[in-house]
Amino acid sequence: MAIDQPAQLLADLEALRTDTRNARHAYWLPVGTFGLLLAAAAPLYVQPLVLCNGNASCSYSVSTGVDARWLVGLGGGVAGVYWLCALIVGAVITAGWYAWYGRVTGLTTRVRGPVAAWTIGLLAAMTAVFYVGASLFFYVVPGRGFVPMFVVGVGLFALSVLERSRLLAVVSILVCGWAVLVSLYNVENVLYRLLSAFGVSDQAMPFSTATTVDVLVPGALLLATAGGAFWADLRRR
Amino acid sequence: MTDDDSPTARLDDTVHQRHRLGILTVAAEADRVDFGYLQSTLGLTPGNLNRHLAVLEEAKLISSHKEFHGRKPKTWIQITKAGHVALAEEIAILTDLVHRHGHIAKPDRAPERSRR
Repeated sequence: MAIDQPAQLLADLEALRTDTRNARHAYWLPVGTFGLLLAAAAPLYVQPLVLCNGNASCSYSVSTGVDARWLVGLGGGVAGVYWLCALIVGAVITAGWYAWYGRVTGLTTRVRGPVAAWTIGLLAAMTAVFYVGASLFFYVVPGRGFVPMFVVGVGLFALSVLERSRLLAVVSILVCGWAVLVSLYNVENVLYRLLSAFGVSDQAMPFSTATTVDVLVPGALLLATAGGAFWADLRRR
Repeated sequence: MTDDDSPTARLDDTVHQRHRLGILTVAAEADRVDFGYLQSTLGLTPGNLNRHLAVLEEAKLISSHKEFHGRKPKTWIQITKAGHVALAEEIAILTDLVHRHGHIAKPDRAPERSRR
């Protein structure tokens, strides 16, 4: 065996591995779908306002008429129904997409892990209220309605492991981190401070729509990631 | 150095063949690989590829099964646990050889893949 043969063989195998991995990458569609679903949830996070003693920041929540207790973990009311449907739709699209893509390219990816993560996360969020009850943590954290966002992030992380994609792993961790952050802190306060620094008066503050940044930021991140992955896929072809 | 110490003595003849290593490398990257994808990626004739697949299947390094999509038959190849182990061992031995000789090569070019 010539000295350069193993080195050349290793280099060729590495090129073959990279080429196959790139051909198998198909996460742009599920990531884009969840990005759209997050962004589309923004109207659910708009705060209706009333003037309280002339203070425009005084807000209240409107009863949605959907008060099932099992929806509390998903944000409750209309938001709970939305996230229930969104997670099911996202999981079904992901499973269907990878089955079709595998048949077309000849390289299949088994997505049982991410689908199981979304299903278990959904069931856990819906049933936890019956186990955890009225503890402070449970009513503060899920009450803000961002547990489904965390579940989305966990499923995408499982997908990143299957896809062996570092970029998707980082993005999904960011989504999970953001879900924890907005569950524990009013991120819109940062927006108010920023706007204030740019000279926006208190009366002109977007109090009713500022809370939508909670879902628009991760939605935009996922859409940008999906767009980048789609563009890279097009370039490879 | 005795014969047993030499990395080349540890090479498995079944795996240590350029195309069979290619098959295992591609199969290790996906859950299942289509016969047509392997053929176009490795640039082999159907007869040649079938021969290599038969050797690997006999050594229980891969498994294959046929499916029908409509009236069109499709053969799917899946790497087994033993296949993953054999591939990892082969790569480790090759890497060991390269380190012993202090020689690192760069790929001539990425393998051609059919456009889909």
